Amino acid sequence: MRKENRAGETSYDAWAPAGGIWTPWAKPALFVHMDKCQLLGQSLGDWRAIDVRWAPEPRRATALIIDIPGLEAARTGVALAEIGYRPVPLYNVTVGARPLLAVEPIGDCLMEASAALTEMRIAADAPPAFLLDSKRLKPDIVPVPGHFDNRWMVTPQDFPSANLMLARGVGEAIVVQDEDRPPLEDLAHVLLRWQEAGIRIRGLNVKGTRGAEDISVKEPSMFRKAWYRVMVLAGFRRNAAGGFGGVIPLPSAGGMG
Amino acid sequence: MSASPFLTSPALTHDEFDALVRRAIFDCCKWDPQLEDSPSLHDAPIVLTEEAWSELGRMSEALAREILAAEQELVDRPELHGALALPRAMRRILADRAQRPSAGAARVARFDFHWTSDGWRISEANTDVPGGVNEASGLPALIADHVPNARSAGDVGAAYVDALVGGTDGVTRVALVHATAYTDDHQVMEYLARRLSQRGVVPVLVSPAEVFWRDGHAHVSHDGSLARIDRIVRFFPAEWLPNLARRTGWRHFVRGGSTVQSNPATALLTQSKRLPLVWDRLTTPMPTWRALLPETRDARDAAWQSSDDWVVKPAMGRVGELIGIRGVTDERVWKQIRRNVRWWPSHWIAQRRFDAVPVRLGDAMAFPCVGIYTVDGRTVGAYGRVALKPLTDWRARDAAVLVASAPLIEQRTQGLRMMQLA
Repeated sequence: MRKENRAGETSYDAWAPAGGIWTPWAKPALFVHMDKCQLLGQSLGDWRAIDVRWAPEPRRATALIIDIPGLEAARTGVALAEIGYRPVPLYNVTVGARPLLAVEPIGDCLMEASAALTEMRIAADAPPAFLLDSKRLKPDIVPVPGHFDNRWMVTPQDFPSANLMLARGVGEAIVVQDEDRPPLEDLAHVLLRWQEAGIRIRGLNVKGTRGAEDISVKEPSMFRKAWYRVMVLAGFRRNAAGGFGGVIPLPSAGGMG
Repeated sequence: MSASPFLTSPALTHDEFDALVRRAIFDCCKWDPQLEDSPSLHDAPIVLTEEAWSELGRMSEALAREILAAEQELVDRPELHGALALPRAMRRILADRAQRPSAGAARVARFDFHWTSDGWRISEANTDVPGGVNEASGLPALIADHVPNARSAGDVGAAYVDALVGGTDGVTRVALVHATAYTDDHQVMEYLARRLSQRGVVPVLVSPAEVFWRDGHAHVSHDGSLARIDRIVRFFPAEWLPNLARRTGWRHFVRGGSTVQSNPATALLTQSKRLPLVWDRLTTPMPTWRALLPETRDARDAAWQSSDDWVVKPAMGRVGELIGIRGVTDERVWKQIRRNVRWWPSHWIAQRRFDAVPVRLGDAMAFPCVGIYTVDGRTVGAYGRVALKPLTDWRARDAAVLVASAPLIEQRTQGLRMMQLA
């Protein structure tokens, strides 16, 4: 059942090119929603002015995980593509009215950057820069009744396994954040698996003055529990309103019927 | 063992598969095309013989008849609910006979069949919120072009939408109730929304907390006021409903709701994998279920820890998570399952293990699971999952299910090979 979504498909082709070695991990959700978004083409801005000198020279052995606020992560992804990384958007997020997370600007940026990305002719074996939104679990907006709760989280199944990373020669991952803090807990589930398998994990604060430093990933709650994924999916971490994924109910509308 | 019900077709080429994935994403709302290192789609379809498809259809319709009758009886048998491992709040509402069971229509179910050394067996039924409708409807049409003389097993989405709104005047607004931030769930609802829109119906994608109940009728907020809903499609598992605040009125999904639901939450009574434990106490005969479902016991009554003959499953498990098979399940997971069964034995079952027969599907020898959908008791299509080991869990890939026409069998040397496993 076909539905025309030219903006979404064109953008997806640019960010997840057919045959690309990291393409399978690019999340399509935001691209598929582009036909529902008001895309103004005003979110990318002057990406060439973004300072990515903190990034090491792209080489096959080092992957980046950009875990800063979503729009900045997308813009940084474009700047990293310019110097030879393959940005991989992992925004596994839905779109609704009055969302907690403003994802339309991210979609807008992804669409606007498509042409530039296509023209860059990124090397087939370019190292990946996985793009996340550090606000995914803690948006700036305080949840109030009527908001669409579109928070999201990552699971180990959203990333390549440590074995595959190592098989592709990736022996190091740098987690890029905009403050000095441990990796977010959902990401820690991924990183600790990688670290245990021998991948070197380093952290870098784009606002700091120090370069990338080795980090020892602390064991997150429920690490390696068989039911971690099922608990995530089954909503054991949802708020009382049924979200992730619920509109916070209007008190005046509660208790009807 | 009978002759294999499967034919096999070659795997798609790399380029064909890439194109299929792309179309699945945008046409079928398949937004999870990759899980860790593996694609979530299989690169070859499951092709059934016409005879096998007819047999599966007949058995599924019998299973659907029996399960709906069992649900009807169980609604009025609260003394049996304790054995089903239902959440306490759900049991309380189910037992409240002052409110009639909520209205239901377009009853959809999926029965998961496996080909075994003893013929077809089912591992479970999804009678509450069966997923995969988008894959079941869209994938076969996309892949059928690559398989001569084979057809889709049916358009589940079309049949479901027909049952929801077809022939009913005044159905203008349908609420698609789900956990909206979960893309796995949202993709199914988005697909149905598209199909409903094509029929001129307004789909409203909402969470259960966003449904407001007035005098038993469901409403949603729309342009600043409450709009009445004509039908509800619930894709939010019934056992999660008690997580909602009481003030949301979630009990109307179970009892007291006048808005027609597909499915009403009373379906949870038969979704429980502990249902076979009360069969003998039901007046409803379950002959097809007894013939197709392997022997099921309370986990305390089977030697599953020391024997390879048993599988342990959580009563409310879905998508194959936390299923334990000695020697198949990872040792670390096996330990966790053992501990959990020890702590909460009444929430688990042990099921006698069947001997699934591997089949060549494309380039892989694999264990297919054929999920047959019924809508209002009629077989309407199928959804396949392909596992590389005899356990269908999150690692299993989705596969299109096709039915071979007679000419295909005759022309099998022209690109299609008959599987002869008997």
